[in-house]
Amino acid sequence: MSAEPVLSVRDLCVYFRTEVGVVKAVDGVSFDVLPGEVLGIVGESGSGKSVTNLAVMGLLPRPPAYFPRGAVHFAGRSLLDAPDRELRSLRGRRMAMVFQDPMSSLNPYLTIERQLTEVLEVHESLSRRQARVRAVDMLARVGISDPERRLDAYPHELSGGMRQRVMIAIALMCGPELLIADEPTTAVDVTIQAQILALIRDLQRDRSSADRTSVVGARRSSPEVAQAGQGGVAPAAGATVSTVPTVSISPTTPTVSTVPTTPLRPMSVILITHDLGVVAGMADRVAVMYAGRIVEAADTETLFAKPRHPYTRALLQSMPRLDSPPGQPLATIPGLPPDLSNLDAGCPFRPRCPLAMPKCAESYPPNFGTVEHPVHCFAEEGLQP
Amino acid sequence: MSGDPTTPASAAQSGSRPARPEPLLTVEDLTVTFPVKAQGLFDRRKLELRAVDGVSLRLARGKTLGLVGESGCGKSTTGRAILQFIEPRRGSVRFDGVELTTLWRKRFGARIWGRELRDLRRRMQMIFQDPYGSLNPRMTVEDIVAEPLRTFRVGDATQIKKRVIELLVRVGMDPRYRARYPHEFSGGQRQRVGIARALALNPELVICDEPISALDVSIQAQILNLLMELKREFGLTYVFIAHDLAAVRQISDQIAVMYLGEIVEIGDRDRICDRPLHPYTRSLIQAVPVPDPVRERSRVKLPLRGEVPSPLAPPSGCRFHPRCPIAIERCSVEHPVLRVVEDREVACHRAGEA
Repeated sequence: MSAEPVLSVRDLCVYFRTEVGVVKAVDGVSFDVLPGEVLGIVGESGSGKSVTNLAVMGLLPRPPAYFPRGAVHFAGRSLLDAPDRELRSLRGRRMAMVFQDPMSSLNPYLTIERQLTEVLEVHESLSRRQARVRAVDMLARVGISDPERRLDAYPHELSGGMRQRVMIAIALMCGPELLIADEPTTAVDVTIQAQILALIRDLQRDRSSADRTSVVGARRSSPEVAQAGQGGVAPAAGATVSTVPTVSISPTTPTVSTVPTTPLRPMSVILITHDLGVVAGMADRVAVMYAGRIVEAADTETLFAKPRHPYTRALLQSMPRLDSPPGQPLATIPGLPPDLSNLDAGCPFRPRCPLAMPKCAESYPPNFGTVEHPVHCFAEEGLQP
Repeated sequence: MSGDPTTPASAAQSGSRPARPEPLLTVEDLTVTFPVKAQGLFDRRKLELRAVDGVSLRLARGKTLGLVGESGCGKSTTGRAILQFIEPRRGSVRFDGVELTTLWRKRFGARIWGRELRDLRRRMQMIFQDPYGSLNPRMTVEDIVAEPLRTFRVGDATQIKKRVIELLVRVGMDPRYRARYPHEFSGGQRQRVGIARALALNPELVICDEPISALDVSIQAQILNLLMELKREFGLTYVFIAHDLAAVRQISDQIAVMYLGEIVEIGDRDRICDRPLHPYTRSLIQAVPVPDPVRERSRVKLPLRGEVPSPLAPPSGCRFHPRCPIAIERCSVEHPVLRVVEDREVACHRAGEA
């Protein structure tokens, strides 16, 4: 795993001009996503976790959104000031997003095939037939049975779990290096959640492991195989696209046509969720957001074993667990999340914080942790990390 | 129903036995159907969707029954049919010794609540999932909480106002905000208003239909705690409906697990959670993520195959068998009935095997 991050976010601020004033939805967020890594971003509604990632994807309408400070670098390019054309060439191809609600993010008027192949026609200029082959393959990979038939279905004919699988398939069509999954399981049932999470994990591991020859069909790690010149046909869309021969089943002349397959680069995942249980099983590192800031971040084991920010600790304690004493009151976080249009200079968690002190009202606490485990809390000042 | 008649679980099945004091709520063979149109364009058949199919349970005063299952399993419909928001197709619901299902009247061709049922409603209330949809956006918080008091003419205007303030304080709302409208509050505060409204008439039975599912994590614990406090303080009896087994376990004394309209396992909370016998209960428990990376990653998980089938065409035999990891041939043929195994009731042919 190389140390060069796929995505680097530095001091990102996303503000919105609204009738009630400036809403500071994201206020100074910094993080890196390494190749092949799963980063969990945890927070409640309004914590800025979705807005951060919409800003990364360039999906926020400007105005009302604006970026007073900060930088986002993806694959060596600066995204915040990139022209739309450049963002469009990245979105769907090198970075993709899965949204919470598959019913409202799939187009009800288009067949599944159309929605899956659109991205290929835009980015890889494949023919319709070639795109269909890729779509069938991808549907099978996300665990949809009878993929040929499902291609002709409309979203309403699929169940919620299947729609979410289709969303994931669309996101993965071009083999992105970065997948942002925004609450991908919030709208589905628990047993389906378990399936979807296992799927994302398997797809991510599959793409990040050295041996990529498993799954459906002959998948090879890209450049070498492409050079080997499968079927003597040059790769259609750039050097990172490998090719596999697919035998078209025609009654007359069995010809071998080549369809550029999904390129296999290590995939990083940003998993946005409000459920600490979900990140515990999925993420390599976790960032906890509150009121537009990352208050604490660490590798997953450390964060759960030694949470240092009072908000992280309170979140962990307030979750009903299968092993907590039943019938007993849960630890709660008193009060409500703050109004983001009306923040002062101090720590926004202090009205709900058991450790709040006068200092907390004066300024936002800097990082008192380490580079690997940042903690923004004055109670951590002077403590050994 | 076979089994040792001395175990509490089997007593729940043989409902008419007056060996113990009458429970506050007794449900027997409750079945709710909805007429649906066939899918085809020229298909004029009227189909019947069986949302709840032969549900039986008993609930003692002051206890909480947790009803868990995935969407479409009939748990909310069961709650609504208990309160007679929906007229059951079949079966019996007895509340404090009064049979509710026979209290429906016919008027101008429509089925309506009779007088007795309307009066009994004072003693049975509901808390809804969606604190956005269940509060009238054009009424102030005060009017929302006062509405049941006015409907049942409990006291004069001053008394009602006093009671509203008292209720709002009790559920943790600042009564100074009572002239505000629901949209001015957060989801958690709206849910508190819904709870205050449900408590206005001093009910005995409260059906909580997914009361925390729509709320943020830090607010869920607040509302769960509030519900537990109110239960102790007012001696309430709850039916707590949710899909989150961890939350259900926190508040319930007994747990019933539903799948496709039926109860597949019912019994004492700890027995169900610590040693589930139905494979569906087991997979529900496995599906709850544990916020502990070391344990979460070492857990043995067998994600269920497929999804919940359509209740319009439930599978033959055991309705769970197409997704069941331990199904045998018998399961696709013979429908399992609830029977006592160990210390709970479970509807699985293979439960209790060595």
